[in-house]
Amino acid sequence: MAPIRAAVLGVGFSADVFHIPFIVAQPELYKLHSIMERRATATASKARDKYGHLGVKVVTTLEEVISDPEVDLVVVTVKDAAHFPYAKAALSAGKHVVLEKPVTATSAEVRELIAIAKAKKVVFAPYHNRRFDGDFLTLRSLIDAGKLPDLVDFESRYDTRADWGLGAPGGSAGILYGLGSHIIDQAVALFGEPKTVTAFLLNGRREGHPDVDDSFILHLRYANNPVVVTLRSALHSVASHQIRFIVRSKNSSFVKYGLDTQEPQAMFQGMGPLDPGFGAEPESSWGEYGVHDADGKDVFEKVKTIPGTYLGYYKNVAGAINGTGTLEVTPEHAELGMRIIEAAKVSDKEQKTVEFASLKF
Amino acid sequence: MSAPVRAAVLGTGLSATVFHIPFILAHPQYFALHSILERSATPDHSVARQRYGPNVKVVTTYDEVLTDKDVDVVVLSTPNSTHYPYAKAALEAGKHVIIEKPLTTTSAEGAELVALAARKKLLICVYQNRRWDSDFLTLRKLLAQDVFGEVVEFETRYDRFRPNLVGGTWKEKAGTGQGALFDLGSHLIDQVLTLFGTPSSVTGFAANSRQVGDPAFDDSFVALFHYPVSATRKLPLTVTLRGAILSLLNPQLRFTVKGTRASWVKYGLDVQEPQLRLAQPMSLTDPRFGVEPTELEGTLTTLDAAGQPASKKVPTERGDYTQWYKNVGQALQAGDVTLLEVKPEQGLEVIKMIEAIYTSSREGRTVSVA
Repeated sequence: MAPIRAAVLGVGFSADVFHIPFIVAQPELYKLHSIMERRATATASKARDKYGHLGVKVVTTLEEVISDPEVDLVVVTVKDAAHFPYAKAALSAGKHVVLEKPVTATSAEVRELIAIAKAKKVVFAPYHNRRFDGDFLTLRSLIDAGKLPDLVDFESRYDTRADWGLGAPGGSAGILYGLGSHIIDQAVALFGEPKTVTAFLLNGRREGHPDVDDSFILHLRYANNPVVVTLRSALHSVASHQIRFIVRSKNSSFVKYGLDTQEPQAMFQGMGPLDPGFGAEPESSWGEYGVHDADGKDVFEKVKTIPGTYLGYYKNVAGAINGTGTLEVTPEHAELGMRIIEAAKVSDKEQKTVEFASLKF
Repeated sequence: MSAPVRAAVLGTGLSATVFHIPFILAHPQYFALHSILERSATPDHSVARQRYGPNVKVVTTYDEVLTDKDVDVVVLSTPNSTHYPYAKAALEAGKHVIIEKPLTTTSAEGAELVALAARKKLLICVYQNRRWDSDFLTLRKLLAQDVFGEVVEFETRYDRFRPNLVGGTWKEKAGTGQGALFDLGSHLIDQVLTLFGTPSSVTGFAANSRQVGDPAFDDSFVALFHYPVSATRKLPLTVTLRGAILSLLNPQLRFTVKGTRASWVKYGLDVQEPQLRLAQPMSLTDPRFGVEPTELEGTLTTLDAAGQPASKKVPTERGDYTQWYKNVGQALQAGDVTLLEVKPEQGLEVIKMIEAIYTSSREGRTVSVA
């Protein structure tokens, strides 16, 4: 099959770290066709400086991208407020779309995008790349191997210490959207639709607008699964190693510290997806698995982390576009994740646990 | 020099034998072990007499304790449901009370006891011993040194791995005052109230996560104590209290404390209880008593000059339940309730928080407690 011709909207941090390298590293699957850089001029262009050697076309408007018959896929990695309108325009123009998180601000918008993609018979791929994080892949492999049967407790944390300004309220502002979208998506992948949602949104640092959350706590409970899922993020966490997962089953546990290495490797070590060790973790970061065996003995061991692979994300999307596979991260997952965010906002506002199915969004 | 306070201990069960009698005997300047209530004792056979010798009076009814003018304080380490009636009887008989947590199983009963004791100028001494756990003492020292800046996130856990019911213990039947919240949560709650005071609101989840035994019996819980911005609090604080029953971590995670300038993470549980429960219980004067292995030292992470996290181990303070007994001994000898570190009202406050957690759990909403 001919490589999928991708146009990337934006040439900021996200495009540089999370998208372009994975497109460029798979020339059998993708060709980086064009980059939309609003402020590019004939003489000055970041995109041309960085990627001109790849023969990339630099344009300055969305219209040029979606009207270009040579563009197959549009990667929407612009600021949050533009996610929905740009994705809508691209899908409506019959282009496949990879859409950065948070995909939209409302579940209604996700449903609208899903409908357009279906009608146009194109792929709408939410960029929930952390499904391909090493820690999550490792956790899933333990679950799939039956090593964490009958889960009772699932704690997932995405913490950092950052002075990020989170902007004005409204739209998809705040950490529940910004970081929560990732760990909510992972819970959606593992557990599906919750029965109840209990949430707390806080502006804990007391910076910026008081209505914009910089930390959240989310408890999810399920109809046919006794597991209690706790998702939390905060920007106040001073730690060398952030706790990531505490997962308990009826007879075993898995504890993992640290966050996936691909982003810091790309940002601070100048590594690319094809470099050996990309996505791999040192043993000091490996998680610990414990099991109460049949003889009543407790056995603990380190579990080597499966290397994270955002390359895998893009490989999966190519399969869906080419019709040789299906999306790992489906737009329906994104729609459910968005409804969970909306339910969380209701629960926080009303200070009660809400029945998910009874809410209309 | 004041005379030792004469103690009557009810029962010869685990708690009395491990947590109370050795400490009474170890402090002859404050206490004398006067009598023990052992219901099934006979003139020929008595566990108490076997263990503690002929100088300890063995009685078989509570009435004998209550009417004995030589008993100053009654030590109640009996099932939770007996706390209120036994403590009330002791106070009405003019005896001070040393009582295991929880003080009572309802706040109404607790309030009644506190008022009764105050009226009669008697002391209720609630055995919140875990204020003298090694990890908690270490934490208090760090807080006193102001290493954290503003504490914004605080997690305290009492997790265990118990897939099956232990069997044969009153602790596993449902009923008021039963369940993990009263049993273990009371320790965590008392520590949190000691550090941060009463929260503004509480969100609780009590569950039977093993789905064995009585479904009404909670074997695990999660509670959130909310401390919003106030005159004394610049940044909001959320405290999470957890007791998991199917937690196969070794060692168990105990504390995670996050402040604006530093964080502290501690694994493991205080060693005094296991040391006291050895087949040959460790002596309270043993230099190893209360001393934790250094592998369990907590990790303190601060921000260095460049704003990067830098971690180091913090030596753990020595745990010391004798401090509770010394404090209570002094207060009892002076007959002065204001000398008590663990105040009767604090015992009552713990029960109020437990009730709020149950209400929140049942009604699926955050409950105001201020």
